[in-house]
Amino acid sequence: MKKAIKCLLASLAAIFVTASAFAQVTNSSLGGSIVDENGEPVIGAAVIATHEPSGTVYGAATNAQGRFTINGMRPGGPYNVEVSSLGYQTATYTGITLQLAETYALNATLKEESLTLGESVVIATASSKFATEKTGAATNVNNDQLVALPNVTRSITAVTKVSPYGGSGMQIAGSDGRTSSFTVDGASFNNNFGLSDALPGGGNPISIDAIEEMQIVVSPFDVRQTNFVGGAVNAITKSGTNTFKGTAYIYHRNENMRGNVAAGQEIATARDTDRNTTYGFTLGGPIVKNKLFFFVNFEKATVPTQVTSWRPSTNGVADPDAQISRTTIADMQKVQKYVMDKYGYDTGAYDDFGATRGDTKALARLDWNINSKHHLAVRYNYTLNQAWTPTNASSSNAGQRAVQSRIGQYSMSFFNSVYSSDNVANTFSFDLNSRFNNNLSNQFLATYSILDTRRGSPSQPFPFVDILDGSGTVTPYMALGYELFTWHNGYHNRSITAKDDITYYFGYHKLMAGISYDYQMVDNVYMRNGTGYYRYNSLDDFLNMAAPETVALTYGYDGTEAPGARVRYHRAAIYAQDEWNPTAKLKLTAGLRLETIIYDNQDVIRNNAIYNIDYNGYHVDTGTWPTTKLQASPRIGFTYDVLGNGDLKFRGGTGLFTGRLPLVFFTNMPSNSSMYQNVTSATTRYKDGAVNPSASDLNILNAFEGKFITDKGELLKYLNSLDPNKYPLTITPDKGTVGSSFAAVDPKFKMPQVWKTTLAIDYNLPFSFPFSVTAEGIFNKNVNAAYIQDLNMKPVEGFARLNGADNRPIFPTDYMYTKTSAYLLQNTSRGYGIIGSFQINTTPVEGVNLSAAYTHTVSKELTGMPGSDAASAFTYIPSIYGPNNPVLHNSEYVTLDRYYVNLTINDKSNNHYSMFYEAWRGGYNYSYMYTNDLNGDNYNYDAIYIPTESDLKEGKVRFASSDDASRFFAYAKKDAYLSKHMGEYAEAYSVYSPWVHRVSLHYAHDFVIRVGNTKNTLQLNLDVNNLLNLFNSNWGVSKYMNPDLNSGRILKVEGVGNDGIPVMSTPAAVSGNTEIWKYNINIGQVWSAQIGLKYLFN
Amino acid sequence: MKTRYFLLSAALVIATLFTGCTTDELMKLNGIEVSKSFVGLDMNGGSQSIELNANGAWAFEAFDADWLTVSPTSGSAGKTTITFTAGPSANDHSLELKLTSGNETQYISVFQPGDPSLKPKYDEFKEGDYWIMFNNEGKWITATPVPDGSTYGYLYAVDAIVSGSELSSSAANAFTFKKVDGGFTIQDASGRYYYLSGTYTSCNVAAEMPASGAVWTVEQTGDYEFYVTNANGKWMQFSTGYSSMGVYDAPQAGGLLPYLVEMGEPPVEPLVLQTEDEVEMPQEGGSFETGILCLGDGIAFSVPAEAQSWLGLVVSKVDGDVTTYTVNVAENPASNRSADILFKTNYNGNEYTATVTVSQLGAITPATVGEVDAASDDPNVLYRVQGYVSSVNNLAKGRFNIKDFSGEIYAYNIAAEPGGSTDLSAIISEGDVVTIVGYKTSYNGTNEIVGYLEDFYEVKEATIAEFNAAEDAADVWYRISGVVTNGEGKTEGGVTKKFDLATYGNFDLVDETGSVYVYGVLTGLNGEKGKFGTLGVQEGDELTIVAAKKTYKDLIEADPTWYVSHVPAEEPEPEPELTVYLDEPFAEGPGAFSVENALIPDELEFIWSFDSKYGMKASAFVNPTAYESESWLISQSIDLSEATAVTLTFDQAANKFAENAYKDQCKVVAVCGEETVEITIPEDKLLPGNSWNFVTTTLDLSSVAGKSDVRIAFVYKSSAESCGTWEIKNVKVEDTPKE
Repeated sequence: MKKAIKCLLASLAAIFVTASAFAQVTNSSLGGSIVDENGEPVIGAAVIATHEPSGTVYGAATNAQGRFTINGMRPGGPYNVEVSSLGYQTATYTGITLQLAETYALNATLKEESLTLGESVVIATASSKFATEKTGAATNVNNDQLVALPNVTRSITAVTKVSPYGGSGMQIAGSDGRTSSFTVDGASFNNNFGLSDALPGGGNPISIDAIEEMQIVVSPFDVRQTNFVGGAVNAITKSGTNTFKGTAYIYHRNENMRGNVAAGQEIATARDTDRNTTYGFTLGGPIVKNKLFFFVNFEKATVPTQVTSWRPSTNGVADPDAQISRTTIADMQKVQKYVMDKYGYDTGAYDDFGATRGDTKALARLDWNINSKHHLAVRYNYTLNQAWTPTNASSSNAGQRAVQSRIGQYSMSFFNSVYSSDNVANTFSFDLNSRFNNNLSNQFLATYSILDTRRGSPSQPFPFVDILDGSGTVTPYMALGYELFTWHNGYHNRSITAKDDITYYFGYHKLMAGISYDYQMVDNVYMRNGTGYYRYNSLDDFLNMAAPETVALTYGYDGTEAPGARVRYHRAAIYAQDEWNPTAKLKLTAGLRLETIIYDNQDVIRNNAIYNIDYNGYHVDTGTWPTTKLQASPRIGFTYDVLGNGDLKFRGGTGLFTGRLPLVFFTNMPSNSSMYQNVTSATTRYKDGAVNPSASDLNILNAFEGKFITDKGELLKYLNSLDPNKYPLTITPDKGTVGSSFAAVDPKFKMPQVWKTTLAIDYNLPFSFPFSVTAEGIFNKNVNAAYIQDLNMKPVEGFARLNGADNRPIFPTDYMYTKTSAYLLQNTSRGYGIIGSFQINTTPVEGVNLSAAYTHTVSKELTGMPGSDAASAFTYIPSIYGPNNPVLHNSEYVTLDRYYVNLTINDKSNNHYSMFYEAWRGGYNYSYMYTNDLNGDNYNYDAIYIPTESDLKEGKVRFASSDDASRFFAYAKKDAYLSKHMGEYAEAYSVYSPWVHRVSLHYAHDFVIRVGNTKNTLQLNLDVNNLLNLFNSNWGVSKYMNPDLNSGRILKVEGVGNDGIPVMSTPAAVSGNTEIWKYNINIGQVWSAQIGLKYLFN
Repeated sequence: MKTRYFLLSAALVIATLFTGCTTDELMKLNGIEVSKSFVGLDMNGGSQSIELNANGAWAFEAFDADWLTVSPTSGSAGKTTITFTAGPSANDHSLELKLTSGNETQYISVFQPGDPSLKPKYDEFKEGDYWIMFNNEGKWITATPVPDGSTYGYLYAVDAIVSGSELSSSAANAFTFKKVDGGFTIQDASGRYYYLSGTYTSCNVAAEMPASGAVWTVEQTGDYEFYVTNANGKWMQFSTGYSSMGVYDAPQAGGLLPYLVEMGEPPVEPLVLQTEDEVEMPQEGGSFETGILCLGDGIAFSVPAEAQSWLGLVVSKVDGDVTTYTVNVAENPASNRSADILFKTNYNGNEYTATVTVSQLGAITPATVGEVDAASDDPNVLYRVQGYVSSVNNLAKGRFNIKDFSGEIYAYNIAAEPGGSTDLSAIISEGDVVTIVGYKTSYNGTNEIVGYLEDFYEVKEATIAEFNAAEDAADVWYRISGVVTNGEGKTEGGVTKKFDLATYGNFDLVDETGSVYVYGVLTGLNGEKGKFGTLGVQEGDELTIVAAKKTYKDLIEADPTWYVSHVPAEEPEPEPELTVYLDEPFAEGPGAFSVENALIPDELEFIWSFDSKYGMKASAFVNPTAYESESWLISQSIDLSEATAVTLTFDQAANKFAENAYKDQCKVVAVCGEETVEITIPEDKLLPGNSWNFVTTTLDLSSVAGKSDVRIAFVYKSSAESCGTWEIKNVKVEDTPKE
């Protein structure tokens, strides 16, 4: 007879999860100690864990200390764990759910069999109040929570808002989202190029319906962690089980399912047609029962569009209102036939521009229990996010740009000259978990990711041709060919990772050691005129092969087909760590990770023109990447179960984390030194109705009379034969040229490294229902952060300084060494952050779950590296001492304060409600600056000195008039930041946008359908974002700084008096009556909704 | 236990909190402190003082401002009060001064606002002679009259003469303002009236005062600004767009209002240079303009005869009294040169002159030491040459030898800088690498370079242990010596070492203190890569190189390096002179040999013949017939009277002989006068006679050593049974090397 015991039987078992939370890890573990009633270890007890849905069985035996551990287990559950030993009653634990990257601790006390002969005990484990116990800061989101979260756009990064440190996509814990990491089954989904923090594949590289569980980590002290400094999100995909299960779903949203009024003001484009329908299905099940399982997902979202609605005319008369171009159908047919007959090139249609914007996602996964010791998971996913755009309106690098668009009233183009923006994600993951014996287990994980943002074309390779209207001006008439800016254009990212972790378990120790290798390649290829470009003065000129007025071609040196600004590196790491349980209450971890990056210098070539510039004795070699260095990340962590029953835990840790930088800051170096491709053109200028070429270009162009070369290779050969100097086939360092600036990476540069320390207390309040609180503090200190300096600027230390309260240095006229700015990416150790959070989690009655958190974030940095260009990252930091000397300031990425409350209710009538309330302050962060350049550094980002009224009385500051002074002080007293910081220099990014409150809702109702013996469910879904905005158009709308305040430029320097005190005026918009904040009238600020229908079988 | 861990973690957190200086404190110099660095002076003049505290001697960089006095301008360490003094000024002044101490520079900004009250004001405009001037972006220009012969036109402008705060121009550019009813008339120096007609914006001129349009009102409206207005409401303005003065609806965008300057004394100098009087041209030549204001009777210029080949003048512009010349300067292939261009004019019977001195840098040809050594003597041709100081004659007089890969030359009286001291003893020492600019000369057959030291860098003497302990740096050079040692295949620091003395010079260099891997040695300073073999360095030799330290992976390398010298391991036995008595390769013909046919059938024209590939070839076979024959290939006489042991070496091939026939049909004999000595081919060197393969055969000629007339003959015989082909090349007779 079996006896079921609900709740916790403290005398029999103490259950708690000790854990090391770790990212880039795809499995779970189970471990603990087995003792008898006297507290003596039970040696050799058998522990059999069965993953019930798939019948996967894992086994272990306890060692001399009565301890056991099982690694490499499938996350999720439920698991059924049986503990048996001769002479003891067998105990069976049911309903155990393992969380991703967690070790579930099962500490059991076995009763001697003689006491209750022949009986075994079944213990149903209530879900732990601390679902995720850990040393550092991490949040797990299981599938139930994923499904319940209101999520109108089905965004995968929206999930980060359930972490106290999330809330804003990939910006985690006040860091630049571009430095966070996102992995699925261990495979990288990072935006490694880093133009923005949006994930690849158009932002959603994988369907949320394929995700089993996610984890958001900020400071996990496991040495397997790497590749982020802010935070990381790790997801695993669903697996098949012994039961065939599937879903089919359709979601829809459109322009009528969202608000069109924010703060009483209508949003112009809100009701424009915008229909998004997503269809998809998932299917999982056994191929061989208990042995081999599959899971597949496919989903497609479509938005039908017309690339352009312009059409050619029949009579040569334009009608702009009807979008009829003056270009005639007859002329277009003539050209279409001419190029087809002569070159076999299909221009595409001139009257049909229909194309579908879409998003396709597919995923397949196999799980194979090779035998009881080896478990293999293989997963492939594909995403194509595609949008179509008409051919570029008027750009070229042909001297003068067109005065009218290539498609419009004056000109038409063919369908094959449109282009698509393709966001592609292709990832592959191979995950082998092995247990060799009770003490030794191993995980081998290999992944490969192709993450590209690139352009596509419906055209065959063919030159792009502009045909002008023959008027003697650059007025287009017709365009055809492969779109001018599309050939190979894109950012490409290849990422390979392979790692092997071996775990050895003995006594109270779990020793883990591993090696890992990863390879990154990112590049930016941009070859305007990559297939060749011809511009003809008139249609007759084109048809008669007269000399074109422009011939242009961009090509790679040494025959490189797709030359790009490229960086490649190999990173190797070794790591080891010991997890030690000296007592049942205490767990300690200590580990060390060593990693090194080896860059591939093949992708860069020195530019001697740059190298020869002398920056006060320093020379910059843009032909080498940073040298190879070893970066060490030691980490320690602990968990202390104060009361021994899991109700009060004290945990924490400290250690170094090595992350990554948007690699665009690397590729800026080859981009700016331009040693990989040749952008050429031979062109003419139009003046007074006539073409007017330079003599050298004229020779080239005349050589094209009667010659229209369609093959770019042949074109290059011909150009090279005409002028080998202008069209060289190869380049050497001596052929480099130098412009007004360039970017480079310090040879000593190291990837960002942060020292993180966390301390936290978790407490289960002694209520009759689960109610837990957590207080957590995180301290971050930069070890190696990135910043950019211009080597061309002299140090400010000796510069003359103003004499007033604002006594900043003034840049002399000769503050630059040369005429060329040298933006050098370097390391700084300055910068730190302090984050505190308080969280509660409770289930007051069955079916109701409430979690809430408050987080306060302070993060100080020298630069947030805004933008993607070296100059912008350098410039856009308000400074006092010039851009080379930024001072520590609040991070531009910080959300200062944030609350959330998440309430989910599942009633007995198949209704599911989930409400998410969120409030935050900050997010739009501003700086107070002078309107003009006070210090003469030629950067208009000078932080103001905030005068006090006594400064004014004492003559330490001076206003142009008393009106200027009184308006300024009236404004300053009203402004929360200025009033608190008078007498100081204004800190950059420290003016926070005011509180925003938002509620979003998810509602689902299940209609149960019985088909034969199976219970199927039809589920109706409704998601509403920003629900309160439905009731009042002011509610839930964020505010941004009044544009009249000119982004915080509230003081103007009129000049510097002869006593060295600047005289300021206050712009007219600044006064005591100025509204500081204005509602953000934007489509993202109003309510929006999505409906969905989902059919679930089994 | 828990408390301990908590305290540990807490301490870690606290330890990382804010430390050290504020940014503002960091933004200061270490060795210079000033109480103020922005010095404002009163517009009425006066003094301002600042306190300076310097850690070392300090000085202001030279500055050019006549309005400001700074005292003192230099000093020593410690506290100093520096006083800035200026007089009253009408104009704004500002100046950036640089105060340097050690390697630090403190900028000091001095500013003085102008006193508006000192600016000229005409409370009431009086009649008189004025220049009409405009300030065009800081540059003063003077309107010039409508040219003679024109009745209307826009007034163009020439540069005004600025001397201090005085503005002037020539009397020809002055206009006379005369009071009439309702305003003033304006007349130019030749008395023409300026008037406005209709709606035109150009000025009309007339000798007589016209009835209308000739009366102007004049009013000073600003410090340097006048409204000169016609009755129909138009203003005199200078259009920056058209670069001329007209009369426009006022005020126009880009229109400058005139400033009327009372004509003072015309410029004292009738010949005034308006541009720099010293012009320095680069070596590649070019042109520059020089402007001369001349009030005299025309300008004459002269260029010295010796400069006429490279210096020429053309008039490029005549603008009123100002003549602008374009001076063209040719490229300078030789040394520095200069010339004075003299301008002359006569004014009131006196001659006035102005001089423009043109100096031009000479060409400096980059050269190797070897190239300078080989160059002809010419003090006008300058070379830039780099070498290391290979030996010192007298450094205090700048005399030493320099050497690079290409050669060595004596550097004589080298100055520390052009025209400077030749005492280099404190600057360089033996072994350092110097760059000298100088010319080639020679004295008593010794080639020399004479010139100055342009650049140098130190080469430190170091043991290999010291070298290995040094920082990695590509520009710090060490001279190290050691024994060339083979480390082929050994792995060190993750790198498998090579041993290559033939091409690149990769080897271990070992001295008593340690060992270092040398990677790629240039043949000398600035020498070639991959030619190490030409230096003849062998394993075991003591080698001296100059090297920089580099770490590749974890292997310390001497790289880059260049060769200085080496001492062979031990003097090898001098090879005894081996005399070669005969050396005939048969490369181009029978050479030293002739053919004597002892028996030749009538059907054959020859038996021995020459073949460019196979040497001399004997055969008496003409398909299908094998003839009987005998033919001698015999050398000219050689003298072996001095020889004791002598050897004959040749390459031979023999084919188509019947079995065992070679031995009898191919013989070598030495003909000594009348005597014929057969040189028997030993059994082991006999050929089988059935192969085209060449075999090198060495035979002992000792039997004929000591004879003075020896001829070597290769005797070919054939028969109807065996008629083979014998080929001989590379015949050599020489002394036998000793064992």
